Amino acid sequence: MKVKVVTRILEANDRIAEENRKRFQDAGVYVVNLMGAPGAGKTSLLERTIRELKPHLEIGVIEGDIVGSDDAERIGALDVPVVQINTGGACHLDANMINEVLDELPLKELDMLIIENVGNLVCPAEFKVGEDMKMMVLSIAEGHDKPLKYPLMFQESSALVLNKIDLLPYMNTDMNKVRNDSLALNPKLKIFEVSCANGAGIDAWAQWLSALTS
Amino acid sequence: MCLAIPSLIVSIDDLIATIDVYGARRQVSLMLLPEAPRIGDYVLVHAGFAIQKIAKETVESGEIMHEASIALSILDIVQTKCQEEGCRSVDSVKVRIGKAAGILPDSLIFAFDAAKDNTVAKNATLTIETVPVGGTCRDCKKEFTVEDAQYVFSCPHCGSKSFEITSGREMDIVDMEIN
Repeated sequence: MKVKVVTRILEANDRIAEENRKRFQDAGVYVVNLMGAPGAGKTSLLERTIRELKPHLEIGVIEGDIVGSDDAERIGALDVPVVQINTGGACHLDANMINEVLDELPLKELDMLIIENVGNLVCPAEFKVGEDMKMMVLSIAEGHDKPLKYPLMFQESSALVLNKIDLLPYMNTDMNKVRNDSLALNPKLKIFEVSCANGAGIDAWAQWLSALTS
Repeated sequence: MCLAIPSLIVSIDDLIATIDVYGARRQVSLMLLPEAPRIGDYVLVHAGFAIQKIAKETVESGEIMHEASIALSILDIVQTKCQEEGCRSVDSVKVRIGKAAGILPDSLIFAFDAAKDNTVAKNATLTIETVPVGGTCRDCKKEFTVEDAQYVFSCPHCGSKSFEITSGREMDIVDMEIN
């Protein structure tokens, strides 16, 4: 006998993502899903952002990594609540992994929760975790061809932070191409240029981000 | 739901096993496995529980990580639907996968076949219907479909990379044959 199923394969993920979202809304916390390739500077951007915003906002962090707790230790040193998720090999975070650690965070006391996804430029963009906004970090050292090679993450993100601009004099990265291709893929994309090494551009980025919580 | 890549069991103490994941050691519960695994077996782990034994050859072939998570989500949905319908076995499952969904069909079939043992779908064949990528170009405003496009493509009319994708991101289960 043939039975119709017609279900999205990620339906279970989306259902749990929706549950997470309700919990975040009830707690009044704005949730950011931070994505990007390994080495793009996701954790460095987080550190800079937390230092900039800590006087004004209560920020919590979920760190997603395949193994280890190095990133959580870096963030924990800034004296903000942080939970480490080890995916044990999986290439992205999903809604259930987030759901399982929510009790470990003081959600009601937070203004913003930043979820640092597993370093990967492809599939984290496919999985909702219950966030208000997806964003990505691209290091200019990764090359100007990346938007067109990995279009989905650029299409799904609301903000693109171009990191390591202090390296521009030593690189052949065509910044106009990065900007134009990114905006072609996603005309609503908000683009920031920063250097986590020397702090350039962090204030404008952090100001924009903090305005989202109000 | 997404699951980890297969993990190697390095020691077992009653219902708790120590597993090795890329050199990291973790403890997982074996309570959910239908039969006790042995040291040297590979298991898929989710939320601290080993949930499925997996063949060594499958693991050693590598590159099934992402598709494995999708295959297990398919099996979850199939098993739930099967319980609702009160069926004994599943002969086939048909899925619809968009060409821009980031899924390799061969890897998905491979992962499905590796994970289906011990489930009601153990004799099921997975068939994949692919959906070509379609979109509306923001520059020339024309609609298009590109049959051979994979993950990256451009408007066939004007070459623009700026478009709204209207199809090709699908990941759906369409139907299944049950007994």
